[in-house]
Amino acid sequence: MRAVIWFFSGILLCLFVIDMICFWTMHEKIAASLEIATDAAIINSLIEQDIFKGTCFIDEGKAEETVKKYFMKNIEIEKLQRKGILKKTKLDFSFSHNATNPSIYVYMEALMTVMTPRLIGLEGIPIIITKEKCFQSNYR
Amino acid sequence: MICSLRSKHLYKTKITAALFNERGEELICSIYAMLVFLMILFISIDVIGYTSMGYKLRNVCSQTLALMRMQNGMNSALMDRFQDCALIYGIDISRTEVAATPQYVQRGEEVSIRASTPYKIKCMRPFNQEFSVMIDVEMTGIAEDFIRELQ
Repeated sequence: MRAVIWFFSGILLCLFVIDMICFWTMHEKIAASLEIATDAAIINSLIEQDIFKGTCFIDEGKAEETVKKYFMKNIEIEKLQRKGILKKTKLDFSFSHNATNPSIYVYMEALMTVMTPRLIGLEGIPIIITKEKCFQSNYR
Repeated sequence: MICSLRSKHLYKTKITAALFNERGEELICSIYAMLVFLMILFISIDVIGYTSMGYKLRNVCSQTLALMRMQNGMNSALMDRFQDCALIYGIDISRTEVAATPQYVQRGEEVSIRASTPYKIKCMRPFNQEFSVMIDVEMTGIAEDFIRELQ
């Protein structure tokens, strides 16, 4: 009996460690791809003619579209959703319109399905990542 | 008659004693536990190695991509930088394949880098088998610098 208990507790521990590794790698991957996506959004949403004049404003629709496009591309979201790893992905945006240094604030929330929370009856672990990116215009 | 009954009783008690005796359980348990523990350890070492190698390659790629975005594409100096960075992280350069957008692209256009390196799985070594799995990383960003001559 003791052997069985030890065996199951060992399996539980292993599952927990694997889950932690998965969660950590996924968190890093999402953070890196969100950073690239916000960078791309800042570059794509500003108009060059405005930057030449020293003022710049963010085109909100274009910025949101770019963040979504490059975030999905870098994280390979189709593969993750097909495997059922990432669920209920939500992206929220807020912008600050300052003429010299506008900024984008992105809030990302998703549910990651891993093994250990399923034993308790939960669906997964929530991942929440926020990112803020500013643009400093240098007019000379 | 009495003698045979006594022997039967003795026989029964010996079987029950052998079945329910807990002596020596620790020894058997510990041997099996060691076997299971070693199997889990072997597999987990490979899992950790694979994930950490992927993490390292992602790190190198994201750093190179940041430089590529600033310089509007990949050139030979950036390639050297990629290889230096990979050496520091402990990635085998001779087996790493890199494909990236060459210089120059205009501001707002895509620059992408794709790198792949093999990872040797060692947990099958006791069975005299060794195979490698490819780790693929692809990242896409947007070029930042505006170049007047390209217009």
